[in-house]
Amino acid sequence: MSSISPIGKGALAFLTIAALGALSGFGVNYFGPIYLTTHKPVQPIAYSHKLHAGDNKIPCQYCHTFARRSEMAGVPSTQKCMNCHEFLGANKPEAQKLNDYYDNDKPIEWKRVFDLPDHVWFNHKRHIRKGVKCQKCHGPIETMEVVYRSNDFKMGFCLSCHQENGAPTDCWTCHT
Amino acid sequence: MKSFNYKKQNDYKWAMTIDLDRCNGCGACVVACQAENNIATVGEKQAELGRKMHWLRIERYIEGTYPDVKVRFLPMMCQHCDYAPCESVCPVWATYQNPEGLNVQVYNRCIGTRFCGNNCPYSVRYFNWYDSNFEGPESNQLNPDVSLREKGIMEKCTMCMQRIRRGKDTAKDEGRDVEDGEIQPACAQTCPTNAITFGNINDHESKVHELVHSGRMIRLFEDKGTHPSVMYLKGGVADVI
Repeated sequence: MSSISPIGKGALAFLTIAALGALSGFGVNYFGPIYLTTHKPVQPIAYSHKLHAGDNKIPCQYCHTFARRSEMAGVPSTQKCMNCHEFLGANKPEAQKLNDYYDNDKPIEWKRVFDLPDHVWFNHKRHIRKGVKCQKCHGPIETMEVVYRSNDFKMGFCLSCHQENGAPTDCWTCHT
Repeated sequence: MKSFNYKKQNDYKWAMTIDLDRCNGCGACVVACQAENNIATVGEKQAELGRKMHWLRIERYIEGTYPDVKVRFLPMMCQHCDYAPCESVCPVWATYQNPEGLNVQVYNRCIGTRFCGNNCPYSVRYFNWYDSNFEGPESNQLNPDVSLREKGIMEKCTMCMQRIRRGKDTAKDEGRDVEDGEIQPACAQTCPTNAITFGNINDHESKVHELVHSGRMIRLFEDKGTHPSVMYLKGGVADVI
């Protein structure tokens, strides 16, 4: 005789279905690893934001130039990295990886850390021009050796800030 | 009847006029809308069942018998009613009136009861019976500003909200208000006879304000008291609809 009561069996079945559901369709969109705060992918080059933005105090928008000009913050081109790394630390192993990408005309395939669901429309330009600090959403990037997703980016996270600052809270501001 | 005072809440109150004397039923607006808003195609079988999804459709009215036949056309899209019958029946507030006078449909809030589609006197709300399937080269022409709708939710004309948002974004960068004619929905931009005019009706110098007060304006099903933001212009000479 099984030790699990009928209610226990029901609960177990429910949990199994919930787990399967979370793995497919809806789940991948909303509970997939990219939407968890523990999301910390291994990047093709061990780039350190702590070294560049923290210790050497390079402004965020020196590399992410599109943040103030468009919706996307943008990832800098390999040429931009080579502005400095043609001479600076050129013999370090990670810089040599970069050099290989540059010589072979290949883009670096960075893994995306911060992503929003497709039904959300976000504009970097509007927020930067208003004077919102990058760290407000992206967390203490200048202290991160490997970048991880520091906020859950749920709707409440956006909305609380919008309400505090009198920004529009109409649904169609972000969802269409 | 009292009217919403949009001036108090917001400077913009979007409205549209469609000149029925200019419309020749070519259908360019229908295609433009389909392309701009990532509207799914359903195929012949589903269309027969009445599941086709055109946010904007051309209604055709034929009068008389051959050889004295008159055909009249009426482009029909979401009328963005001030007193929208669809809003009051939504159990989850997925549809509501926004401060700019548009009737909002929030896709990620919708649970697909289809009450709104049932209650719409203009039949301009469309239900997704299947997931949209844009495969191969089709997916390359999708508009990145518009989300793809999933199975089981309602959708309808948004007056090209993504274009309004972009227009306001540009205006804000330059520290001014949106100018008249700066924002054009896809249908208005495509119309070869310029039958469709879009603008801010709170701006008394706008083209749309002038047309609405030209004495030719009619609203569809005015007796229903829905007070639509989309208005039609009928000619003095031709007896249109």
